[in-house]
Amino acid sequence: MKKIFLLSIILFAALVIQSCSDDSVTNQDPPVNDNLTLIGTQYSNGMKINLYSDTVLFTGYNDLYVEVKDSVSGIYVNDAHVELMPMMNMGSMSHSCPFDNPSSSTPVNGKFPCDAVFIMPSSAGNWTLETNIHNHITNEKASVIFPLTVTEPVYSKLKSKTVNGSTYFVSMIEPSKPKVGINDLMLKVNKRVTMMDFPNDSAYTFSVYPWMPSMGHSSPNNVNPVYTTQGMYDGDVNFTMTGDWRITLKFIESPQDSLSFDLVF
Amino acid sequence: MNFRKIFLNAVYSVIFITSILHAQEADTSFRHYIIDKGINVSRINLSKEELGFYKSSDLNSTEEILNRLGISFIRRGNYAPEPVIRGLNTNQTDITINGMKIMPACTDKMDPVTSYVETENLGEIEIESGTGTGSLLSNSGGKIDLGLYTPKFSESFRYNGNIKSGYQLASENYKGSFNLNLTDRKFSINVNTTFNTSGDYKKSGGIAVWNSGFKKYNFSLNGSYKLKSKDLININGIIDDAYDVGYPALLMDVGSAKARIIGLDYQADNFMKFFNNMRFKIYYNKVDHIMDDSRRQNGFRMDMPGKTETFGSSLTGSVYFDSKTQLTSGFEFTNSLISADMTMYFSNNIPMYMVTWPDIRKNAINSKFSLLRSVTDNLTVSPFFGFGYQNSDIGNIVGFNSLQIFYSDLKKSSSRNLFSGGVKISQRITNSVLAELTASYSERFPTASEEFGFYLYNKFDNYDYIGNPELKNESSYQLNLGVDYSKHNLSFKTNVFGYFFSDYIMGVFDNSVSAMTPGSNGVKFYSNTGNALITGFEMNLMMNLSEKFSLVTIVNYIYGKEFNEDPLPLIPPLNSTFSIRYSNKNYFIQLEEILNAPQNRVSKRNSESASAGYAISNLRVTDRINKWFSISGGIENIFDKEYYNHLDWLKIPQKGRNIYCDLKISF
Ligand SMILES: [Cu+2]
Repeated sequence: MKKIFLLSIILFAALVIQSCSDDSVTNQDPPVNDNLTLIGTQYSNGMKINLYSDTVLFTGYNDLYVEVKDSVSGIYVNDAHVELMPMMNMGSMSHSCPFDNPSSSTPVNGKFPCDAVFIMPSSAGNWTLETNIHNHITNEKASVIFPLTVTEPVYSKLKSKTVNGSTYFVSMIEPSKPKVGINDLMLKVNKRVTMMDFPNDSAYTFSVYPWMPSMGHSSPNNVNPVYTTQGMYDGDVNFTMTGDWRITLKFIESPQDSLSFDLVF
Repeated sequence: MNFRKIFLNAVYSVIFITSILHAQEADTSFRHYIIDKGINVSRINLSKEELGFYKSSDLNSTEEILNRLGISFIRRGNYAPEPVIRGLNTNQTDITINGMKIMPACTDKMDPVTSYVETENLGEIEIESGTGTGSLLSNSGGKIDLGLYTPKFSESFRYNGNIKSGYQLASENYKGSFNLNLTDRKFSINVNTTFNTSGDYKKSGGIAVWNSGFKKYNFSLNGSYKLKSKDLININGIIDDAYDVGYPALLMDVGSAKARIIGLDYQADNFMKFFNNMRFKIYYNKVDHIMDDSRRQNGFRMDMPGKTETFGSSLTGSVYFDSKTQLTSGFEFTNSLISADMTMYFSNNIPMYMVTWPDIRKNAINSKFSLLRSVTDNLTVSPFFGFGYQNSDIGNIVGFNSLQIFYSDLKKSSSRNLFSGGVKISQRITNSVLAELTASYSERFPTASEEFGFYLYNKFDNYDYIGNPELKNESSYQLNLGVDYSKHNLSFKTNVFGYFFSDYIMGVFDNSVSAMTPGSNGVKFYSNTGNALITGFEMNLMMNLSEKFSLVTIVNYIYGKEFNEDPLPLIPPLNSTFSIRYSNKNYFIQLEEILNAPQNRVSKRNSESASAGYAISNLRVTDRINKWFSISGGIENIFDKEYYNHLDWLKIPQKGRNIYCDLKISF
């Protein structure tokens, strides 16, 4: 009885939303998000929880999407609090990694976007992602654990550097598909405070210097990344030709420190 | 066929051409002299017979003939030097084949259009210095038109032809050709095939200049059909393939350079009883240029293929309004595609790919109107006006994205306009003196490299060049005063000129951008550098000393400077050619002295250095043995002097003593 009541509320809400937005979507399925990779599915307390990512998980920054549905009706849960806790068990020790919980209790296209920066590949231990959900509609709580497989990319997208005694993780998010011309440069910086705490960090600014090691030349008119939000930095990196490139980032406030990403396209 | 007559004609026609014309013109007016003969002091127009005089041997290349007509050349090897008219290179001038526009396909300027013909293809050569004289709008520095076979007809079916074979010692150059003409009352067909191969040439002392050889095959077919007395339909085709061409002054060589040229034209006199002459032309050509460095030890491999394709059409016609006024107009349309890219291989790394000419599709139209008005019997005034429009589309997205690195506002499609105009005044001062003053304004579009080139390495100053889509057209005010004096045994022609440029286009060093090519000094961007001046004079004296001795002297001088008084680069030094020819019934002997002054006015901006002067002596002999056989030979650079011209890149010495010989069998 209670369920039917709730269902009718949800249906009503969906109808209202539909009549307001005049969406062409007629059933309850939100538009299918293009080409996401399903990492795993877990059930708990009447919820079906799907975890998606853009590609297979790799060492570095990964966008993650948590999808919460009613396990019986398959209806999307449109109001929930989602919290993550990634963990790596290396036998003798465990540690977490940088991550961001969904910023809102309202999903985007039915999914709660979040992210994690895996700092090691699964070859060094076992990654899990604990996901805690508070379904605001049913007021139910769920806690599930996704086992993860994190691979190491051919060209590393994550670098760590100890600067003035603190260790920083710098992830290169963009360019993910490098091309000749102007490319977005997007970085994420996290500081390691403890093995369990890797907050976003904006203490340093960077200069960008692309270099072609085989030919020994750089490229012009790059834009140094500037801090935006949530540990993110945004700039431009230019490639004048295809081939092997090395993007070197200098810590402007600590000029003797730098790190570089290699990429080939 | 009376060969002797033709032969003598060839020798004397140039010497006497003006006096003959004067004789004919005694009972016609000066007006017709100007109109019908198209005589023009700042224009050289030579027919095949007249070319014969400048062509002292069948082994002569097109460039050697042009050189004797006052054209200088920028040399990057022993093949395809780039013509320079009055210090202006192919950025500022047009080179056309039979009026057809062809886009060179090499980003390193290895293939000026002159390289796609053999002298055997040529009918007549027209050189126009500056703007003002042609019926079609030409580039600001003028043009060279390499006319193809001029059709001849005969009362009944006839055939004739020749086989030529020649050898040059200094470059182990062998050149052989076969030429066949079929003529009738209505049609004329000419087929020509030439094979030209050269090893590394030897500089003074018999020392070979490594990697300076080439191989070239050329085939041409020309057909004409006569509709009425002066109404013709012509078809011209050329297949020209060069292989394994070495460029000692560059980083790269040519695996193959292929041109396919085809044109159809219709010419008519008194067309539709309105045009007193009309010419319509439609043509297509395609150039494939395969450039690489597989013969070099650069430490890496580079492939830099280039490709162009041009479709064009032109219409020229003139109308007499009355006996004193003639209007000539010319329209031209061209559609061309210009592409080039580069792939580099460094040891085991993934190949590096770059787009250097981003598939530029150019649609251009231009038109020109000139009015010729006889004010008095001795004075004609000819105002002219031209307009050009060009649209460029960048078709290659990688190339577009690359240029965007420098020009964030870059548009895929852009267009430009240009105007030109001026007036030419011709005054006959006495029966034998003609003076001509031309004052004009002209503009030119930037070239594909200047506008859209991407990291094009220039070995001359050792910089990488990047194009600039934001360039303004280069413009110039031009003043030319020419005087032509002709008396029976003497013809003297002189021109004094001044070109005043604004927005002169040159590469400007930018130290914020690092070089791409290994070893390059840095990057230059094509820019409008401001004002520049080119001024100078040329003299051409032809004299008949006696019935058997004739003398030809050419003197050229050019002075060029930038707005800031710095000299312009690659300006030929004062140079002259003296030749004296002794002609007898069946043979002639010619002695030539080529003189070049040192050039100390050099461009710092372009890392140019001064050049020494030189004097070279040549001896040439031609003997007509009989009706069928003729033999010619000679010694060039008799004293085996080691020399280079100021326009020779890297100052690589030219040929040392060269002995040549060729045999011609006619039938
Ligand atoms: Cu080339």
